Amino acid sequence: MNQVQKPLLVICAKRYNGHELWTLLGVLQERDYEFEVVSQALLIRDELTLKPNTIERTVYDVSPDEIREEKFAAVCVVSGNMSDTEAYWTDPHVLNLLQAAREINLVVAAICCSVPTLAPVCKDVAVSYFPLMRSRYRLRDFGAVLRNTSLTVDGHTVTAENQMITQMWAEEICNLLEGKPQQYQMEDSGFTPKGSERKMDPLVRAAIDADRGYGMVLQKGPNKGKIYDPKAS
Amino acid sequence: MVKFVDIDPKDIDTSRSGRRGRVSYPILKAFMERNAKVSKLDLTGLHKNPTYLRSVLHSYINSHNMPIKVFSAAGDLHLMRLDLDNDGNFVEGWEDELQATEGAVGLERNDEPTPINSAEVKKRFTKEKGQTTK
Repeated sequence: MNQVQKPLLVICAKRYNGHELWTLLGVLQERDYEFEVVSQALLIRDELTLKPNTIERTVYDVSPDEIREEKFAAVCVVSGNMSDTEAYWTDPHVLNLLQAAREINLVVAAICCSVPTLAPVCKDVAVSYFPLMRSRYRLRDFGAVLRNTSLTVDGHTVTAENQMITQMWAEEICNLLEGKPQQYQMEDSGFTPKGSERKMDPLVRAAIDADRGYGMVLQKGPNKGKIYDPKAS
Repeated sequence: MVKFVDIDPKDIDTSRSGRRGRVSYPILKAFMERNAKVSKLDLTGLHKNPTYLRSVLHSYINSHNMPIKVFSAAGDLHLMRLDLDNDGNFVEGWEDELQATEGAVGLERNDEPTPINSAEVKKRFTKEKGQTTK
C-alpha cells in the first residue's frame, strides 16, 4: 500500500458514472492506494450499461466514527444517474460522514454533479462544479467560492467540473495525500455558460421567493444577477 | 409551389371552440384497455397538433410511470406497450428497462454481478483510460 497506509472511502451513486468511478479507482490502484467503494445499495450498476457490481457495505454501514478514527485517508464522491446523485446532496448520513471528515481535516473530493454534496462543508472553500443552476444555488447558499475552472484544489478539497477531468482529479487527490504540489494549474477562461431559470408563473415565483426570503432573477439585461425583492414589487 | 391565401386582418378567425378537456388520460387509458402491443393513434376529431400531443402524452406517461412508449413513424403517432411482448404476454420486470440513464439501453444489465476487486478495476480502468465521454 502507499505510504498513506489507509484506504480511501469512495461514495458513488448506485447507478454510477462508469468513466468517473473506474478511472478514479484505476488511478488509485496505479498509485498503490487501497479503497472501499460504498453506495446506496450493495448492488451497483453502470448508469449506461447497467453492468452490475457488488460491494461489501452500503454508505449507511459506514459510521462517522470510522472517519473520526482516521480509518480512511480521504472521502471521494462520484456522480452518476442524476436522481441517485442528487439523493446524496441532502442525505443526512452522508453529511455526517463529510462533517466528520472535515473535523479531522481529511481530504474530501467530488466531481461533476456530486460536488453539491460537499456544499455544507465547503463554506469559503473554492470549488469547481458542473454548472447546473441548482448546483450553483446550493453551493452559493452554503458559502462556497464558485470557480469556473474545470479543476480546483483548495486546502483539503479537490473538486472537478465534469467527467472528462476525472483522471486529473484523481491524480490531484493522490498528490494532495502525498503532500505533492498541484500538478494541473488551470486559468479561468472567463467563459460561463448562460443559465436561465425554468420559466414559472411570476405570481408563483413571487410566492416562493417571498416564503424563502430571497429570490434570484437570472435574465439578460440590466437585472442580471440582481437579488429580487418581492416586497418591493 | 408554395400557396398562400390573401386575407384581411379583420377576417382572421379568432374564435375558439373552447377547452375540450384533458386528452392524455382518455387516450392512454383507452390504449391500455386495448391490450395491444402497438397502436397508431387516429387523430381524427382530436383537434390537436400531433407534435403537441406527443409532447403531452410523453409527459403524462413519465409522470405516471406508465408502461407506454410514444413515438412518431412516418408522421403518425404510435403508442407501444412496454409491459407486453409482441405476442401480448406480460413482461416481468419491464420497469428494469427504464433504469438506465436516459439515452442508454443498459445492455449489460443481465451480466453476472462481480465484486470490485483489483482485477475488475484493472479491466474496467483499461477500458476507460484515455476516454473522454461515457
